[in-house]
Amino acid sequence: MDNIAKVKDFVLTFTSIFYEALPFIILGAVIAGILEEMLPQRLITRFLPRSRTLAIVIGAVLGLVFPMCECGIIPVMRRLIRKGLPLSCCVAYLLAGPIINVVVMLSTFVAFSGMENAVEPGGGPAYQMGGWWMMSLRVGLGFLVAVGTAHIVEWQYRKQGSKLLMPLAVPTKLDAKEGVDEPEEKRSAWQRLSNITDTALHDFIDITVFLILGALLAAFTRQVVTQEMIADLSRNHAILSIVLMMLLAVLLCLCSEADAFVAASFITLRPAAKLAFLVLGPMLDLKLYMMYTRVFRPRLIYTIFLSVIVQVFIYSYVTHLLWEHYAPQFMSAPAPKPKPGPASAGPPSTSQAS
Amino acid sequence: MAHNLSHDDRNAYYLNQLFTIFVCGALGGVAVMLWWNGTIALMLHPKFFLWVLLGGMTLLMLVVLRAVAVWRSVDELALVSEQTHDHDHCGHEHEPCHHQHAHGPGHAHDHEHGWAPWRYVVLLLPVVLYLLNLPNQGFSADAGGSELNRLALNVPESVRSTGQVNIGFVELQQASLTSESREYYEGKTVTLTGQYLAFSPKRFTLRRYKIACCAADAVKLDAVIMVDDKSPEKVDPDTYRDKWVEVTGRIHFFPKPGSNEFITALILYPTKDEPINKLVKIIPPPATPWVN
Repeated sequence: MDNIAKVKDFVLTFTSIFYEALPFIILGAVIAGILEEMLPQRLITRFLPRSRTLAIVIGAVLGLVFPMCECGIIPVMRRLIRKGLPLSCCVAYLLAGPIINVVVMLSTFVAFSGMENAVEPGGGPAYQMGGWWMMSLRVGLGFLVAVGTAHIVEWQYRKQGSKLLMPLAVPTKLDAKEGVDEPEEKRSAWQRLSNITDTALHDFIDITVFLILGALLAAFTRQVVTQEMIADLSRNHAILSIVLMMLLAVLLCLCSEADAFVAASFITLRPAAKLAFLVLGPMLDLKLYMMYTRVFRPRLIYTIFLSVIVQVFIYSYVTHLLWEHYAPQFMSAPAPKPKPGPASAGPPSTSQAS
Repeated sequence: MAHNLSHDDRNAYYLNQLFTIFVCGALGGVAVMLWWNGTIALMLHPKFFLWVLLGGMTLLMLVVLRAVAVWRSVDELALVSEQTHDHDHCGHEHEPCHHQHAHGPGHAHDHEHGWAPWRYVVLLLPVVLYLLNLPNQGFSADAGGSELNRLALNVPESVRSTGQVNIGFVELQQASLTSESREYYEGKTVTLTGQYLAFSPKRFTLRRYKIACCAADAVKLDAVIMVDDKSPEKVDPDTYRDKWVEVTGRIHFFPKPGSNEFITALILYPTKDEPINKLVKIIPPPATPWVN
């Protein structure tokens, strides 16, 4: 393969990651601008449940009502933290939102539907997870990891406070008198529009720079690490396959809507390794790391990443043990089907994702 | 207040604003142009085309509004500068007295408006690539190498013809997954379109990529193409290298050595009526290189 072809492939990977995320960053920046200008300072805290755990749980399932992808969510989050939404709730939404939303759940279901019928060459069942299983476990594990990490962040925030945040994400100080709202100042519509565009373009520039750097990094690693390398290395080693698929999720920087189709293409890999890939990918990858640096200080980023990595690994490994032990008991072997007739038979159903 | 800022601060603010307007305008324009000239099809799944257009237009709209706002703020600043500089009633240094969040060169902001030209250099990268007409094709045929080219496979004695089917790469790959579908498709004649990946004059890999969202999630759909051993005909790698081809042959599934997967293959049976150059035809690259 000549060098020009390599450069062209690199550029194609980079631009595709960039232009796929671009519209959602713009959308996120516009929402951020509107939030900054229009959302009254105390409104969020007024509607927040008193129990922090409940607030975190609500944050984790908020994606069902407000679906946002992992890139577009970042500028929105930064402004919401400034407006007083607790950091732990934001982290719960940031981590779980890209998994627990209807679009991603549906794409996971479609990508894996039919996989439960996969068979070994000898004709025995391969005990792969089908659409329902993969979707449910992805959502369940995503929820657990997000809520667990959010609690750790809450604990850290109580100790460290705003030192964990970049200046632009630090909550704006409220009026000195507790419970008294700042009087809203009258602004003309033009003034408001001008402020919204200023914030939106500022946030767009700020996040997009790091999106580009992350996409460059991802495109570069894709030139070096191929899916075949990971599949070869992880064959027949449960722990290694989970670790390598987690590594692949970090390197590939796929959006959560598409990653299920890539995971499903690893046909013979054990299902828990694919699950680890699907849960970790939307929470942590190179491009997200670069963009997180615009919201969180390194200490908080490393706390979140460590918590996410450890939890995803443990939950995936436990799932592996349970699945391999119990799946043969509740998944019946596929009944042999009659041979299709020579003239009248149509092609057999092949609903597996390729 | 606005005029309390130093001249340098004001210059840095306006320089930042101008570069922001310029760079965002350029990125918005490029996004719209990619949609307009169809280049976006090289990178993304069709479901994202409209999003890219809307994103580009939104960015352009924001840029126009921002440009007008900056233009007006210069006028306002000039007006204020002509008035008295005694604004003690404001009581603070860096906030304009009329409102706490009026964005002008003197507003009290948490924004990091420091002049950082490196950011604009990074942001201009997609614009520069567009001007260089990159990307201008899908992935090269041998991106990421071919696993299939590493495998030793023997051409079967004969694959009995069992009729014709009209299916694509995706269906054929799916057909390799179950024994029923393998049995059904074995021996059927099919025509596939893909990129030629050289191996030897009697064998090559036909490659197509499937995407769910963008080129970064492309999954290789490879098929092994083998010429019947008894035929003297060959596929010259130098003629076909890096070309898009249309291949007609009989379907056969090889068990993959050391794995429980099956490899999809087409076995070519050239005849006098259908010589090898009819069974492996060079075609122009399709407008979208992906199967979705």
